[in-house]
Amino acid sequence: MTHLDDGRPLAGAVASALDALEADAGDVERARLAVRLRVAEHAAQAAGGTSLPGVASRRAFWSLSRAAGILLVTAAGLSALPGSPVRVWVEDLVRPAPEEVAAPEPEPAAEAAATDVPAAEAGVRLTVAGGPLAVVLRGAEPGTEVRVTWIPGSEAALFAPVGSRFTSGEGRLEATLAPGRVRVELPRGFSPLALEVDGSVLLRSTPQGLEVRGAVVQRGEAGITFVVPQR
Amino acid sequence: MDFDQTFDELYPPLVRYCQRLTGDRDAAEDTAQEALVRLFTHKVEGPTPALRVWLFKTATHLVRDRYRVEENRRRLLEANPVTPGATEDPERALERRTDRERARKALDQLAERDREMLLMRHEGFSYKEIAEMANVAATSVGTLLARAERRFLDVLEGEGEPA
Repeated sequence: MTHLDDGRPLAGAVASALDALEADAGDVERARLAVRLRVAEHAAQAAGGTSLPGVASRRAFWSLSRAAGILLVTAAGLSALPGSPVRVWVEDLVRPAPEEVAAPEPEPAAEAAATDVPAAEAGVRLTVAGGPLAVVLRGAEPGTEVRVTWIPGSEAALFAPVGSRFTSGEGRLEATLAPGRVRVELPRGFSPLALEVDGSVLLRSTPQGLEVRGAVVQRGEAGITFVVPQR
Repeated sequence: MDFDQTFDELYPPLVRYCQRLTGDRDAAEDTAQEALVRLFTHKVEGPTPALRVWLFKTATHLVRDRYRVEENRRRLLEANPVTPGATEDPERALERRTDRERARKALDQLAERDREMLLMRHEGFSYKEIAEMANVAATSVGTLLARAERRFLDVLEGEGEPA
């Protein structure tokens, strides 16, 4: 093959060859969680708090109360950081019995907190083992956005603004909500499961299929976003 | 800086770039995530194009530091099998795999800087941005890129010829 002297005509052939290479971004949601956790851990250390459990070092023996203690410490430290993009996460809560924890109220807004910084979140995560799964939300204000994301694996998670109160038990994640967006991660294809907000079922999955009952504002392959209607 | 927006805009192209640079999915994901963690923890601010340059430059340095060992590169290459999709025509799958392996081998024949510049250009960076990331004079980028492209295609075509 004879190449042209000008380099630019080569660019098309190069681009075509490079396009053959791998281009899949992989599991983006898992990567998002991993980055978020590491950023939170870094911020917690910078603030003198306790490290959050990381994705790579999940500790299945953590009790809910212990994790909740860490949440309290780190959330207080992180929310005091002006301009921090950090959210507070709790990973791998494996508990012998349902137990209630309180996420702290956010600190008064610092000077830089008025910038475009996402609201701090707290959350609980649960491994589902084949039985039914129920996600129950209470105290949702009208207009609250509930974003459901399908994720691979067998874990479910519930994240809500700091100030929400969480409980979890076998096959059950519950929260009494503080104002703000709620995110729910559900194992893709898992059944049976149900998502309920203040007594109304938004989503139910049975062996026969997915039943969507709530007001949907967005729906795609990755998940469904609901909005809590006016009462 | 909005975490989700920044992540959604920057992570997929970054992990793609890293995967093409290293030839390894795990290494690419580790590198891309590490670069993003640094972006957020260092509180890098600025418009998205500037953040993108900062991120790709950081990732490039991480790859250089961590994954440059030749033996590792060979291992990464071998550990990168292509599984045809269930509905894909077997002939087409084989063709795609062959194209992929040829491109991978041709990339690996390039000097480190040439490989990086080629992939940065493929991600749509300007000459000025490439110059900043590759630490070369902006006026040299065109020449260096053209040379890298020629070298890449020469190797690619050599790979395709019968022995």
